[in-house]
Amino acid sequence: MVSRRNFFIITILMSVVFFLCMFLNNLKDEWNDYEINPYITGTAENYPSKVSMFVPDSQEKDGASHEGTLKEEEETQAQAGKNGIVFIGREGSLKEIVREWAVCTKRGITGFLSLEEYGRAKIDMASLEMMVIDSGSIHWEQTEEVEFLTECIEKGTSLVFANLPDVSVIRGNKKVRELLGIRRVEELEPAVNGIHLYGGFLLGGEVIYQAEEEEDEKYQDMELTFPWYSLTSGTKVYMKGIPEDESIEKEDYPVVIWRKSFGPAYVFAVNGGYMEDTAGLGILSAISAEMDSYEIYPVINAQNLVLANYPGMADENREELEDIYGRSLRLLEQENIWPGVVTALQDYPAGLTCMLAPQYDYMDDNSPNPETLQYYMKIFHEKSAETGLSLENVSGMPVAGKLKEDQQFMEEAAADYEFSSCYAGNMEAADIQAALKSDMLSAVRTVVNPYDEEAISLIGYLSEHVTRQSGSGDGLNYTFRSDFRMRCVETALGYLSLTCDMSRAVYPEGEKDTWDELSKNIIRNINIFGKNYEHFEGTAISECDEHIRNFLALNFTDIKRGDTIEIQKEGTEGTVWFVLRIYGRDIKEVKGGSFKELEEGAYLIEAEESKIRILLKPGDERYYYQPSERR
Amino acid sequence: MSMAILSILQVTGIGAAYFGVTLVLPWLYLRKRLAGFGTAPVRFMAYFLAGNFYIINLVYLLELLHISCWFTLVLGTLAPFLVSAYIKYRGSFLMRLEKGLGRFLLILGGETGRKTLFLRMRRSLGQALKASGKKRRGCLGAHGGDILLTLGVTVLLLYMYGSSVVNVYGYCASDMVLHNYWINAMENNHIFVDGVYPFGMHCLLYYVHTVFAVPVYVILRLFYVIQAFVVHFMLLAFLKSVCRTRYAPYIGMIIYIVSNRFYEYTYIRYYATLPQEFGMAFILPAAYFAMAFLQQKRDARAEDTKRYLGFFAVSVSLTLTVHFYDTIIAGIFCAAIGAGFCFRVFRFSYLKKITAAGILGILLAVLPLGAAFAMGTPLQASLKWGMSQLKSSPEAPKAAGSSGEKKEELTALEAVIDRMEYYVAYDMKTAQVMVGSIGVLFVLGLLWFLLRRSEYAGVLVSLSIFMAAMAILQASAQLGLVQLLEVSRYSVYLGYGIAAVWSLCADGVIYLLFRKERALNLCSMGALATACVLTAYTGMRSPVTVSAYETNEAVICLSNIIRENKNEAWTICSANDERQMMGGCKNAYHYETIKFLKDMRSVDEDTSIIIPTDTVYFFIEKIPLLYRDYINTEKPERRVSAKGAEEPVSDKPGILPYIGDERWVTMSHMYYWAQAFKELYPNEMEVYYETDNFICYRIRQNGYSPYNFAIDYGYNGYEEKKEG
Repeated sequence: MVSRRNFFIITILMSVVFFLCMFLNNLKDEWNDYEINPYITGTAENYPSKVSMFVPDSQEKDGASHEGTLKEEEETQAQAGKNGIVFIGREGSLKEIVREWAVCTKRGITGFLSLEEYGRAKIDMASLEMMVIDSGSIHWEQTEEVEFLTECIEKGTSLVFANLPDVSVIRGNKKVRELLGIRRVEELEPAVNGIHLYGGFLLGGEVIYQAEEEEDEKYQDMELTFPWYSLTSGTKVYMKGIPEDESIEKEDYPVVIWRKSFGPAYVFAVNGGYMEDTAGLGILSAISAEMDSYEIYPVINAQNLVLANYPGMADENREELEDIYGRSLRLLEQENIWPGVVTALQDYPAGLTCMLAPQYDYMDDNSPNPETLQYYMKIFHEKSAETGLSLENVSGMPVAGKLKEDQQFMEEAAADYEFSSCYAGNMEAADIQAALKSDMLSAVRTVVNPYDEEAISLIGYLSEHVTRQSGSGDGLNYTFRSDFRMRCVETALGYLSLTCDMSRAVYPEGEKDTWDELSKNIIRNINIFGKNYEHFEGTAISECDEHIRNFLALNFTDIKRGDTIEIQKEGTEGTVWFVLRIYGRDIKEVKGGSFKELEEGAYLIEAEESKIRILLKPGDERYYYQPSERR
Repeated sequence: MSMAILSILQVTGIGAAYFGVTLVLPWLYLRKRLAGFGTAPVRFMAYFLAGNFYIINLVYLLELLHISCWFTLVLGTLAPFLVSAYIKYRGSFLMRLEKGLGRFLLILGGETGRKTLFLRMRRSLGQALKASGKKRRGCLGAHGGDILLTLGVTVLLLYMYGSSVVNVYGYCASDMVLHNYWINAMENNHIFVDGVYPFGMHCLLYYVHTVFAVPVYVILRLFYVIQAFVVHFMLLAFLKSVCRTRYAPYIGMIIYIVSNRFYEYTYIRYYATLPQEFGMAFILPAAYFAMAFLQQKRDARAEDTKRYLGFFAVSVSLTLTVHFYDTIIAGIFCAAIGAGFCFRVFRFSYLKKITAAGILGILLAVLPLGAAFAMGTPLQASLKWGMSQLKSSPEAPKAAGSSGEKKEELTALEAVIDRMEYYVAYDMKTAQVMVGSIGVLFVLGLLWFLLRRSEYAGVLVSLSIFMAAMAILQASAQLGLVQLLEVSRYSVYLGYGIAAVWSLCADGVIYLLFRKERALNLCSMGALATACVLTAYTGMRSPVTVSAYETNEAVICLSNIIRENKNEAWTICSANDERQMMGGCKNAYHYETIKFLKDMRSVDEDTSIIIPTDTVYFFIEKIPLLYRDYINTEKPERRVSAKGAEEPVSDKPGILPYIGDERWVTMSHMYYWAQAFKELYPNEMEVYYETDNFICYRIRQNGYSPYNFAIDYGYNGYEEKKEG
């Protein structure tokens, strides 16, 4: 017999369990304000705009670099900006990269076509930090030019050879070899099957780009053909090739990136075309950090995963999807893709943005389902993922028409929701500008572009108030070169934007486009970059937009006094981030901000106030010491 | 942590480990077996001898069998206890186990309550405390003065020898590196790595290193304090055993420890862990047990006779096991005892036993050495050097400071006093007092013979003859006698013996005047007080600060490096000594400074010096040490300079480039190399540790792409200069 008292207790307990299971869940649903975009905190005018963007000194003067503008008769006292750099070389991707890096690191930059032109310009070398040289613009056969470069080094200007002269020049000219720290040319085209990037150069540590197993060979797209030089003493190597011949000693491996020290300054050399894409940004940042006892530069501090064209709201391509996956689009996206993405992201801080595609195909009869949208918006809201809009479609419908249909759908499904970001795919800039004028996109303040190998500038302004952010990597593909590029971008900008065009899984063009295959690459990318750059902040696209605006508007000066580094920031009042790379010292405290250790000798500084003071711990202390030493 | 505190903790740990094994364990094992054997000092000597003898021979055995490791050493140490326990509990083990388990089950089952259990425990604890309290009170009452004085002697020893521990961290003798090397090799069961040599001390140090995980370099740099304690307390135990008055033994001890009347060389070697000095601890026990045996009358207990003979054999064995110079001295002492106890030693029953014990002791010591020699290991070079001293002719070159013509005019006594003054005494007057006191002791001995106290007289005469023989041998070159030891070494033994002579002189005189114990105690206390006042009046010495063979900074760096790089590979480029000091460290390598410099003497683009570890440390002395062959207290003052770097790098072999001016040149080159390299690698070449005298650079490099350390630092090419 159950007593009344026990019966009463059991009833109460069951009620509590029922309440917990059902009522709270319902409450959560009720309180989920998914219909309001939390990332819209004001109009675009409230944020820093293109007007406030930092422009390097020398560019401000002429609107462009000095290249080609200096006439022989003019003895212009061209002044490189503070911490100025000079680029010697022709117009092209290399120059674009150097200019982009100068803008990002808030350096002044001056460009010259040749050394001769540079010599005439009479640059004040005292303010010159480094000279980036396209070897093709140097007349190596002229002794005066080599001597002039040597003179630059003696005056304390470091040289960065973004590429090397032809091997015949190096072989035949001892002075060139001495300048580059090359002892001899060992081989013209050694058989190399991998590249070894050493730790301490780029952020993220050591990496070996070599296929260990046969199935990994598809990832190998690094430059494996380059001349093999052996180096003299006084050099330091950052990246080497791994020869096929295993009998070769590790220290003799062919070098890719190295430094030759001359006392007053350094010569850096890059053996190959690594500087000619976005990788150049990271290489220059890493080189700059190697030139002094410390280096501080601003970064965006944003790690994004953008699922473009995800999720779809209409029941499309049913037959093909049934064939491949045995399920409809709704089930594929809800039960395969979403759990896969959430699981991959659970250990890493990357922020998620889903650029929804109400319909992929606007020509078919399948109309989007409002309930599906509400379902996704709820779960996105719970996971702090941002919901943006994709401007793409597979049926070739003009963007204006697409937006019209989408607007009708949104009014029905989530009338109060405003998009703050959108995904432009491969649309032309003018089309994007036109699209942004529609009512539906009136609140959009940032546009995402897919990953483009040839793109130099990853971030910038599309219009006065709208920013653009390009993917730094394609989340659905993985190759060694793209991995290297992404590491470089992380080093230079603290920025990762993995864009994944999910329409590939919905409208697959082959076996490689199935979700089973694509998910492997997503997971691989997230694992690599989530693990190695976990201290950078995971941001949704609109959060990243704020970081980018502040980053672009920022200008700063820094000075080291004893154990303190002082940073004075200008141009923005928002929070900005810096990377501090320092040798043999640790940070004790940051006044006006905070810090995180990224890896040994590299720190992420969050600057909240306009003046930041980084206090360093007293020099490397020993555990055991003489009694006379005071502690 | 301050290095001084670390050193104090380390020396305390080493002392606890060493005395735990060589005193506490033998005491635990033998205390019942030796109950009633002699006085406390005699038992102290017995336990100490037993402990050292057992451990040394255990290590010898395991090393020769190539099975020496932590487990076998611990098992071997506990073996006597295990055997005893086996014998004791052979029949009743299961019954006892059952009984114990039964009690335990009663507690677990709750049948024995908590209160009962605590009551029982309290009772047994109370009984034990009560018994020990009674003992303690009795002991304090009877030996309070001795305890206080022994504590005083301990404090004095700590002050004199311990203070160096916190001031000097390096090895204080040039040959300690060699001992370090030998002990390092024992880790691989490779005893006698450099040839056959008495390895007694090495066995003990190796034992402490292996069982208690103390690094060899730490033991070697600190064990000298323990060694000094052992040597002094053996002297005290000997004097306490032979003196008739209570406080006379402290007279010699205290004067010996604090007086400045002794020449520095008589005690400076105590500041280094050296076999000869350590072996001195076994000379006086050998003499005591020989004399104690000869003091036995026919009606003495056979058991005691056996013990005396046994410990005599063990002492002789230990002297030879540790250093054969000590055996020579013990042999001279035994011969002197033969003369002092001539009235008994020539009786066949005594002679055969003591001779047999002596031979047995020597055989025990020679056995492991002989076994190794028979297996083809050659004699170690320094052993040959020692032998050559034995063979050296009377016309050996005269010691420095003696004027040939003047010496020819000296009588034998004058020559002895002169040498005493030169090697042992602070001045001629003290030398005369020393020689005189030996004579006085002899006369006192004869007097006691006349008074028919032949056992006591024998001791006085034996010691006086021994000391006289030593004094004569010290002047052997002047007197045309065979030189047994390297002449300066006599002074260490003579200084040590003089302390015994003075104590026994005081004892002999007081014992002559008084008979009653109370009077003897009072008078000896008065004599001790007088001796203390006289010592204070004539002058007391300060603790010596020996010039070490590594800078303090080098040892600090080494300690830090070992601590910081437990699992990483690292290399130290330094002048020699660290090579052995880091011997036991995993992944640790050494690069000789002189090799480093020689490798880049003629630097060109093909010259390459690669050190393939992730971290490389460079030890550079800005004020290079005065690396001498002998222990000294000279302070270096000469700084490295461009002038030094302009001199050619030494071509001499071995460690000669690190000695004298050559070291200055070597370090000057290194200093300028470091400056040039730092200019090339300003971030990578970090200053790891720096003082006015020393700098240590650390270079962290990529193991896959190590730096080429060969650079043109401006002073490489001396050949052109030579030609020029």
